[in-house]
Amino acid sequence: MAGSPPPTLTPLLRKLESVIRLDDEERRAVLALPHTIRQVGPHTDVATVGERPAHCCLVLEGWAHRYAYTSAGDRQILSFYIAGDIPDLQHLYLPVMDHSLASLTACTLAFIPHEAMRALVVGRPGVMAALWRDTLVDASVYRERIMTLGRRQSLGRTAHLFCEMYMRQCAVGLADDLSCPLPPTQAELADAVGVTAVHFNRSLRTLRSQRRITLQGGQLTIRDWMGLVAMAEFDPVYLHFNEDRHQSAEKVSA
Amino acid sequence: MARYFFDIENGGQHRDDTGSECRDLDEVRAIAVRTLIGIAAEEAALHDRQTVVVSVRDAAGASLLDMTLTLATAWSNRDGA
Repeated sequence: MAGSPPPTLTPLLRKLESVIRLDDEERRAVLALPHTIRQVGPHTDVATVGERPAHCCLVLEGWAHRYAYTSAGDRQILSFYIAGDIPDLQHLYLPVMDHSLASLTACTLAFIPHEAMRALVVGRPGVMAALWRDTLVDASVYRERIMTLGRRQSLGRTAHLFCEMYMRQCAVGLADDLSCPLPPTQAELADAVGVTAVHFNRSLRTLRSQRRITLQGGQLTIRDWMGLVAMAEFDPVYLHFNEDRHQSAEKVSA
Repeated sequence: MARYFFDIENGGQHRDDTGSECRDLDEVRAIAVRTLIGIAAEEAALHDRQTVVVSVRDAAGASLLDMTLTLATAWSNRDGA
């Protein structure tokens, strides 16, 4: 039996190119980044508060998450990360971890030394812009989350999270036809939208009974995209996908 | 940790078949409060009077806690506002 080929950094390239275009030399340089592959089980800490990481952690397969706990022991899941994401990219320039990063499912992770990331961008302004933009989009996702957690109720938050995770997976080729993996448990999804699991379950039942979604065996299927978008007040502009491409299309048509 | 089941009554009845893991009875109480307040914030805005009840059972099915939240709205002079 042939073993599966070793994982490559292609998911990173897909992610960067979902927001900005790179030229051939830049693509080759990204794929040639030195890295160490680690397979981790579910719920394994990668970096915790106070640590000083020396590597960037790139998700190649599986889901990771950032989280924090209150002193009473209540968890808030701050964000989910999928293949191609570098959840701790900002720690290239912010030495100390201010939250914890862990796998959610079993994950294949690539650890890229910080020196290699810094060397990559020297003389490659396109790659520098792509990485900078990646962290800016991360911040934009957090602004949207403040809006959602501050001003929407459980049903809107849940619908919003489903729209976002579907769109993000679509952008890197992990979803299509209104269906995508959604591996977090209901308790984890509840901790991400900041409601009790009991209340989350109620929202899920409402979305199901209104035939907007089905969620089974870690697979989300959206039955009524426009209805879900309306319920979430979801406007994907904050994800900043493909804006350069749209701009050049506009220039051509002008 | 033990599993508790949170049934909800808000107009209709819903029986919780999934349950939630709780560290202790303080957490059971906290989850009941947060669930009531969350549901009221989401669903009671449409009604002048609303009663939401959370009833908690333990894993053996024994009734453990009933918590009721009633929102009553009384306008003094809505027409003149």
